[in-house]
Amino acid sequence: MRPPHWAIRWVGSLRMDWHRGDIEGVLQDCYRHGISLYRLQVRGSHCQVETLLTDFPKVYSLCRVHGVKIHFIEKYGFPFWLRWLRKRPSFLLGFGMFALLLLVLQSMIWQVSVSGVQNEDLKLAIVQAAQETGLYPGAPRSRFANVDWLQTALLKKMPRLLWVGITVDGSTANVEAIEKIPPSLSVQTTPRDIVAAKPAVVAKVFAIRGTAKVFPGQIVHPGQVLISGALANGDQQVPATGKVLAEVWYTSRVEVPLHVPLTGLTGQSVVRDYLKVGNWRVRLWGFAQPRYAGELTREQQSSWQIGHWQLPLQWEQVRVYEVQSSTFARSEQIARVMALQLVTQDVLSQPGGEKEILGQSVLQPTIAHGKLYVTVLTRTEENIGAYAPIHLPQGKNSDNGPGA
Amino acid sequence: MRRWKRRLQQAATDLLSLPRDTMMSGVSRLTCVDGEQVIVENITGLLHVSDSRVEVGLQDRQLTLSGQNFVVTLVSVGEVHVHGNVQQILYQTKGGVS
Repeated sequence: MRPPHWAIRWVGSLRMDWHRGDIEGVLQDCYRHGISLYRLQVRGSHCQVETLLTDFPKVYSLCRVHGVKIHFIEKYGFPFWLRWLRKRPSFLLGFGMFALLLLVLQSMIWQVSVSGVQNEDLKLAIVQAAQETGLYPGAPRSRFANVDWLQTALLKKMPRLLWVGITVDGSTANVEAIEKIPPSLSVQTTPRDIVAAKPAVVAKVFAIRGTAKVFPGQIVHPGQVLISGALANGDQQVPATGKVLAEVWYTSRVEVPLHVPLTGLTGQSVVRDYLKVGNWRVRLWGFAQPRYAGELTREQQSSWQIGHWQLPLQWEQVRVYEVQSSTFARSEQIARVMALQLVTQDVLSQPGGEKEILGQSVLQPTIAHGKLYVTVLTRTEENIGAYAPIHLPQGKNSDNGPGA
Repeated sequence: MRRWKRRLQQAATDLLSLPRDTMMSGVSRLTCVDGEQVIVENITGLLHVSDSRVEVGLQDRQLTLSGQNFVVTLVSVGEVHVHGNVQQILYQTKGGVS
């Protein structure tokens, strides 16, 4: 039985070898003095025994009395570790440095995050402002025991924010901010007209401000004033506001091929393995020479390297796929549908805001050179108004007069 | 007085049919586990230790353990633990042994 664990830990224990002298006498005296001995093993004139470090002085004097020689075998426990430590101050220093480093690092803010704001620029601005007020990665944590002053300072620095809340959790700080909702766009004050942006037939006129100069059914040309900002013959000028919905015609010419060449992989392939030494390539595996009508090769090279240095010796695998080409035929009907789809896409992508397609008609379908040629006329309804500086109604007043 | 106390203890132990070590002080107890581990309590002294023999002094007797590969795992006040291959446990009344 070894001495109890705690005793080895704190008191320390010694294992020694006694020889010569009156070992029996020492044992009996030890018993008489109440000294605990552990793992006592007698082999001839030698005796191995373990005792607690606190009992050792007595054991030593008893051994002296009985003429027993002591030879130490092993030492266990904290006192010996302490002595070992004293012999190696650098270890102690390292441990101290570690503790110090841990203490220093844990008393710093490591991360500042911003939440509650979507705008990335604003986030950066908040981080910047926080840094200026004293909240940044590396700032001492003790500063933020009370964050009220920081919140106030941050709010003062960032007038765009409505509210700022700072929570410091461990070594991370989170700034929660609420942005002021920006005020509605300032009302336009510069007087202006609304003119037609493209040739169209007016369908509806919604004049919110200004005088409507056109009426439904009227054909307008680009540049023609639709809603005038000039009131009372130009005595008073206002920014014209409103919408003019008009029917616009788009003519599109489309060609859709009826025969589409297709190439596809058949699934057949062969593999060739090469060993590359510098610029040399030696084929090691895969000698099949298939007779493919068309083929597609894909190369895959290993990148063996030591550190960042690419080895001159590399493995390359080349895969040759069989390619088969075929032709896909479309019926004329499908080609027409496709043409209409293409035209719709094209028209909707034209500038001029939202459009509603009123109708499409296919004109002059002809099939030539294996293609379907069509002209498509698309009628859309859209807002054709565009802002323009006020056009004083002097000479042209009489032209547009009836609409007013 | 001591003899009287001892007799009273003896009487009480007999009356209650208890093992003697529960009531009476100084009575030795030997526990042997599978002939390999021997624990002797209430000893008065450790008389001899060797590889093949351990002698323990009891109150009025002497206990001799014979066997092989004896290791005394603990010697403490009134207690001894022996580990080894026990072949014989022998009690002897104290004669010339001190």
